[in-house]
Amino acid sequence: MSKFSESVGQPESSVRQDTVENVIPIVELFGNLIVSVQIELTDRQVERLRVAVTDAIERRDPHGLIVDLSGVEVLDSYLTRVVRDIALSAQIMGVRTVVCGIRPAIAMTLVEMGLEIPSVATALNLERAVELLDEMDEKEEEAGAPSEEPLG
Amino acid sequence: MTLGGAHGGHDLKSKLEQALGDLLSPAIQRAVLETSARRRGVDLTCVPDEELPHLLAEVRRGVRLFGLEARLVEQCLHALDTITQATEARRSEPVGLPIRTEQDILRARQAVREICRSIGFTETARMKITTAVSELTRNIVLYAGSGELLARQLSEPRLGLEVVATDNGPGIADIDSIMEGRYRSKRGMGAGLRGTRALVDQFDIRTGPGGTTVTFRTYLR
Repeated sequence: MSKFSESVGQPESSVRQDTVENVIPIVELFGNLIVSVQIELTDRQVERLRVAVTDAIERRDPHGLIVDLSGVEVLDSYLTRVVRDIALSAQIMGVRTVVCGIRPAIAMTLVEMGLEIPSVATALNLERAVELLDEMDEKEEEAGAPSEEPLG
Repeated sequence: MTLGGAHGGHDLKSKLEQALGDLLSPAIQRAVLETSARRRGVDLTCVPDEELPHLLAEVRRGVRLFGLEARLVEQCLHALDTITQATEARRSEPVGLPIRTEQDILRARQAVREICRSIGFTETARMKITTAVSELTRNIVLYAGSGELLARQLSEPRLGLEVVATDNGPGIADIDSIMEGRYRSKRGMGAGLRGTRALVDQFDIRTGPGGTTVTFRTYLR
């Protein structure tokens, strides 16, 4: 494991059961943590991801958090809620969060199901997410005080 | 030669030739088939399922263009329709999966995604159906322990997909208030079931002490 990237989802034992399937990288870039979900996850792996992300926030003190969902095959009510929980937890810890990479088919599915991710900032893709975090920083500097995101 | 049963690539070609045989001379027949295949960019010995309707549309055009006798043209177009139906019947291979673990949720999603692809659903429709399957199978794993998922292609009244999720769990106590949105479970079963209903064309849930059966249908637009 390199200094700047770690993986979650591996079983506690040294024997890796599902090899690649179990690995979601949490990468640090320009002071932001980027979690990129690129594989289909079991509920247990989703739960591990939730814990790993909040742990990584505490340990690495990032500027912002980006959750990239461009590789997600299915965004159902469970994964939607976990993504929202991760974002809200991060925001409570004082880390701005942007969720990005929601594909058109997923967006339409979420809307029809009536699932929303309220009070979580979203961006089209990773690049826009980085830009959005920068904009949030600039606004904060202009305001002269940390502006808190509304919660809930 | 009968039209029923599975057909490989060469089988399709010979079916097409047979359908055109009474109407067109061998040379024109070959020209129509080759032109149709070229226009669609397919090889007649290996036509993907989703290409077949387009290919047949081209062939029909050729038949109308070159067919001289109206009665034979009709007969020929009818024979071409039978090819479509025979293929649809062949594609309809029902999938049945036991649902016990989280891994089974993923398997069910993958299997249903595949069957959706072969039926010809768009990406958005596939996503809706796969998401609905994810919700239903998760409910089975979380609340019933084990169950079964069946998915099959529908040909009547329209091309579509039917999914049945069954379990022998304890049933859902207050199903009416869940479906009306007055109830929210901690893990979100309410949102899942209501969401599933919103994602599909037809939705039916039967639940009692003996278990729960959810059936949904979505049709190709």
